[in-house]
Amino acid sequence: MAMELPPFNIEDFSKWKSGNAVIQETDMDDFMKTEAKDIISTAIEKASGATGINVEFACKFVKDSMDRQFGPCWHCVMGEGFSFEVTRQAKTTLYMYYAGKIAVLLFKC
Amino acid sequence: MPPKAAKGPKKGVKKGGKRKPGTIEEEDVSQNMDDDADLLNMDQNNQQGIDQEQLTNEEKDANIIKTLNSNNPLAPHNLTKYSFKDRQFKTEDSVEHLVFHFVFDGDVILKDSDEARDQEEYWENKKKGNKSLLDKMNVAIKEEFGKDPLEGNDKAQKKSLRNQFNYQERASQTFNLPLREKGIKTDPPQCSNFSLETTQWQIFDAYMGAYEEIQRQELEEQMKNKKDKKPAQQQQIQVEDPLYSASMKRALKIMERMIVQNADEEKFEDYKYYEDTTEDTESRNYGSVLPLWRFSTDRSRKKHVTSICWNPRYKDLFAVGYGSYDFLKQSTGLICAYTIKNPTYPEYQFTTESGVMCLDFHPKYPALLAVGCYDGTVMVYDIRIKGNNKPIYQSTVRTAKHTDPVWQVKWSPQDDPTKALSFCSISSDGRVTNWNLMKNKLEPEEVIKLKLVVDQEKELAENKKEAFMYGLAGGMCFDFNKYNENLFLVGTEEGKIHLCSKAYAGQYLETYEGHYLAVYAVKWNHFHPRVFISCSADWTIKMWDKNVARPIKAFDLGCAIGDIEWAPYSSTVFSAVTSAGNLYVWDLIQEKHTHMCEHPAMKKAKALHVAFNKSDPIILVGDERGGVNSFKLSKSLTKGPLVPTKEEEAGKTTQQLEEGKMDRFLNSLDKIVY
Repeated sequence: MAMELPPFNIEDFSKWKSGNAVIQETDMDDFMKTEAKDIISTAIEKASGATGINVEFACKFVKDSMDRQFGPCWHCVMGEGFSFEVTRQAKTTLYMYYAGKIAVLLFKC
Repeated sequence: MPPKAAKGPKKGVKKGGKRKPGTIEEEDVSQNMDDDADLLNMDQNNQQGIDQEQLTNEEKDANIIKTLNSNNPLAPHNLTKYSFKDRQFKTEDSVEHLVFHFVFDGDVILKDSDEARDQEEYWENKKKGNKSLLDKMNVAIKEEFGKDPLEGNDKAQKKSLRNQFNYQERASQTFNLPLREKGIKTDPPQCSNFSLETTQWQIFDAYMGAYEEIQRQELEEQMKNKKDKKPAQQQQIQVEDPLYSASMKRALKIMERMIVQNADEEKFEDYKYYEDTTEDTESRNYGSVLPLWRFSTDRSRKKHVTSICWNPRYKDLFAVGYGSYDFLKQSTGLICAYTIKNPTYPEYQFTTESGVMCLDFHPKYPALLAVGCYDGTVMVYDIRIKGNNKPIYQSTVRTAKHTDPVWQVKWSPQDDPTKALSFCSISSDGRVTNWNLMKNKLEPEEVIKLKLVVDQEKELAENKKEAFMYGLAGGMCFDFNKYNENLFLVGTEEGKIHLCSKAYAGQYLETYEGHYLAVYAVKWNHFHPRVFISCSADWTIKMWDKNVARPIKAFDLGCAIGDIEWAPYSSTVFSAVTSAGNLYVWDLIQEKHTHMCEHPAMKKAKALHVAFNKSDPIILVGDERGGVNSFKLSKSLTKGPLVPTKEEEAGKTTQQLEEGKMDRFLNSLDKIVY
């Protein structure tokens, strides 16, 4: 039984990936996860302008929103390329890609 | 000095407030001498001072009138403000001229004023209130005690309030509760380290994977919607573990072959590149073989190699049949298909109930393998079907299977492609049978019954009918003629070779007598239509011409000869193996009387079978210990086939040239011998 995928279309792919999040790793519960995802997407939407994405603003926005909603001491890292080693509290980590090129690390400690 | 003082201010005002005594006061100078000595001095010095206005006496006597008014000279007189009402700047007329130099709020009140009266009234009311309160208290005391306890005591009555000087306060203190501290320590929240790395590549890959997953899901949904009938089948396909998939198997196979080739590199180099090009006929190396691999498995160790057959299409693949030639020690059979690409382990394996005696690959369908067994069964395997170890065809008692060991099977040449495939088998029970592969069974068709041939004289002497009383001769081997497909030779246990034809069933066209023991193999020459050779347990190899009843050439090797085979590349080259374990190769055009090569193919084991590769100079020798040794033939042994090159040969085919070569050899033989 052949399961042939349709031919790869780079335009469709770019379009799709610019508006989608890929969660790489998370141990949050579902509610927190959806909240965090919403916050991140609104943050990046707000921060993106003609000159690209204002990562600092987006980070600050996410951190503040999460602090307000789930208690203080959240940290947020965004960028196109970085490596990290962090200590995080259990059930508070979210590591995902957004908008096709941004990696977002969100955790509490 | 009042007049002067009066004068002074006048002047002071006039002169802009100058306080210095001027010349006007000259007459008083002497009086003020002691006080103002310095000033005087100064004045005297500055009698004609710069600031001093000189006045005449008339001027000094003149009256100047100055009036004081309530205007503040320091107040601004042209104050201008913006008037929002008229929307323009306007000069303000009313300027505040009042100036407070000193202000002090007093608390003295006039006795006649209203304020004083109010105050008086307030104090009076307060006094009255206190008096009435005290009276009420006294009334209450009287009610309680009957009479005022202080009645009569004016002094006490007068002052019932506490004594300022004889008064003491009493207080007591309760214990203070001791302070306690209470604390609770909670477990710190669970933490763990988390580290990763992000690059654009990783992000891209992650997106790519997710995208493909989504597309696949969409596709699956589409398929499901299309075919609601077969959802279970789809799931089954998904379940397949990649570890056990066909592609993984293939990859592993290639990997194994590569490892084997790397580990055994020297032999593979020899196989591919070694060429013994010795042309010196005196040299010891002239006509030699180079040993390569030994093909063997654990399961075949105690079995005899009963046949070897190269695959006609895949020149690296060959099948080996394992059984036993020992009548008393029969065991199960085994078929192994090896490939040179992996000499360590067989590519295909099949086991049979009875020992395998012979096998043959179909020339056109390389997966079909005909097999004959010791118990008389003939089978057909499709070697592609590995799993179930079962033949696709098998002869049974119902289909008239052989009752004795099948010594040779051979696919019949398929002259009509619409006809079913068929193969021939020969057995000790004296029958040669052609088996047709029908849809689901083997259809036997008797070709010939091997009647015993008794001496002609004997036959004449006795009753002719008695001849039928004899049993049948045990067939050992047969071979179809390549140039006349009806003709075939049969070798028997009695040592006779019969020439038969499919067209005349039940008759021998010719009987060749010359061997005294069982004929193990008989082979037509590949190029010459008349010549064939045979080998026998009586230690001889004999060469025959179809038209001559006696052998035209014989070779005695001093021990039983297991097998012979013509080389596929030359009409004059053939090979034989003996029970001493030697491999012999002849090239009759080079060496007429003796072999070109003698090589100990194995130590202390009978060599049983030999097979030339169809295209490479490789020869296989099977032994009685379940192994197959491979050898590379040197250049001197592989001369041929002849290709028409010279002009005189133009128009002739290779076959004709090779036939001519054989004829040249035949002509050189001594005709009287036969």
